[in-house]
Amino acid sequence: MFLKMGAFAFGGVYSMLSFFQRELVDRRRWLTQEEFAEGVAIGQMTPGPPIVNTGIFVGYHLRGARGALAATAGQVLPGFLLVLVLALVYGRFRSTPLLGGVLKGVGAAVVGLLGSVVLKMGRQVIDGKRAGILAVAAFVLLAFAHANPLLLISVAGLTGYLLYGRTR
Amino acid sequence: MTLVKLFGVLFAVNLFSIGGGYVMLPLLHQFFVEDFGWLTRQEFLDSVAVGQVTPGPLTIMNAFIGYKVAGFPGAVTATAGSFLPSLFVVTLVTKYYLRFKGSRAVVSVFRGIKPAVVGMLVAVGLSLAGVSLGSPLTMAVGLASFALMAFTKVDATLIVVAAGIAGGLFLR
Repeated sequence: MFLKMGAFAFGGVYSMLSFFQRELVDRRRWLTQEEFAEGVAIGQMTPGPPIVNTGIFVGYHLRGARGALAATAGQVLPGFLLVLVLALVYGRFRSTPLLGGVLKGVGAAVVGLLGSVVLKMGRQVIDGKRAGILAVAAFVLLAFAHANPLLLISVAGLTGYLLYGRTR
Repeated sequence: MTLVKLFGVLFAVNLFSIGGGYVMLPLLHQFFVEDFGWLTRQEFLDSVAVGQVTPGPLTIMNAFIGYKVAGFPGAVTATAGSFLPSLFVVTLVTKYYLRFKGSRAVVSVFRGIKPAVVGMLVAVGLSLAGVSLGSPLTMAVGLASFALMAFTKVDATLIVVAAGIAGGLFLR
């Protein structure tokens, strides 16, 4: 069990599906290729980070609920510990000019990254008039009406069901 | 009380954030920055950056937010709230996978949610840009990061680290 947690910790560190695949399918043979593909699909359509979800799928598949728990812990712990260290540094040095400068640079980069995420997702997802209208409506409701985002997502999901779910 | 609220919000947000990392940003921003006032926009940006440079999924940024709000117990609570939805739902879905697979209802719901998420991300991006792109230099860093991420295969972590170094040198 500990060995397995170690393996998942590495999966978390590299955050790479290819690493999972090589380690779990090719080397350890804990999963077939097909099962692995199912795990990836499930990872993408369940809440939370897809890579962690695929890990949970693998853990559950191998050892049931305990495996799922071990997989989560193994993937989350390395990042968690590092975040604690960063939080301590942040708290202590937040007001120094050096860290202030670093954070200004980082903040600008984050906005840039966000822009590229919007571009990539938008290209893939907005495939017609109806999707475009949904996107604009969500933008307006969040930016100007400060609507509850959980409600927005629920309504968007319901709209999707009504638009695409019942027609043949 | 704060801990209960922190747990509840993160549990709900992560339950609704299908597809990972960036999808949860509009939700977190609305609750933590706009509604509760627990973080400034700058602090929110810093949290995203921390999530981006640490190993594993962006979601771990919630531990940073938790720490900021309520110290170590906050960090633990936030992490539990963020990953428990995954644990429950994936376990359930794995059990009933065959019935769930390719279901038209599920696919159509996602076709509605995904464009909405894009629109919400634009709203958050604009709100954050107002804080972080104030000077020509920060604007240049933002544009460069955007271009590198959108048009090359440079890793996001690397971009954030490089921007941090540039900031430490030129934006003090």
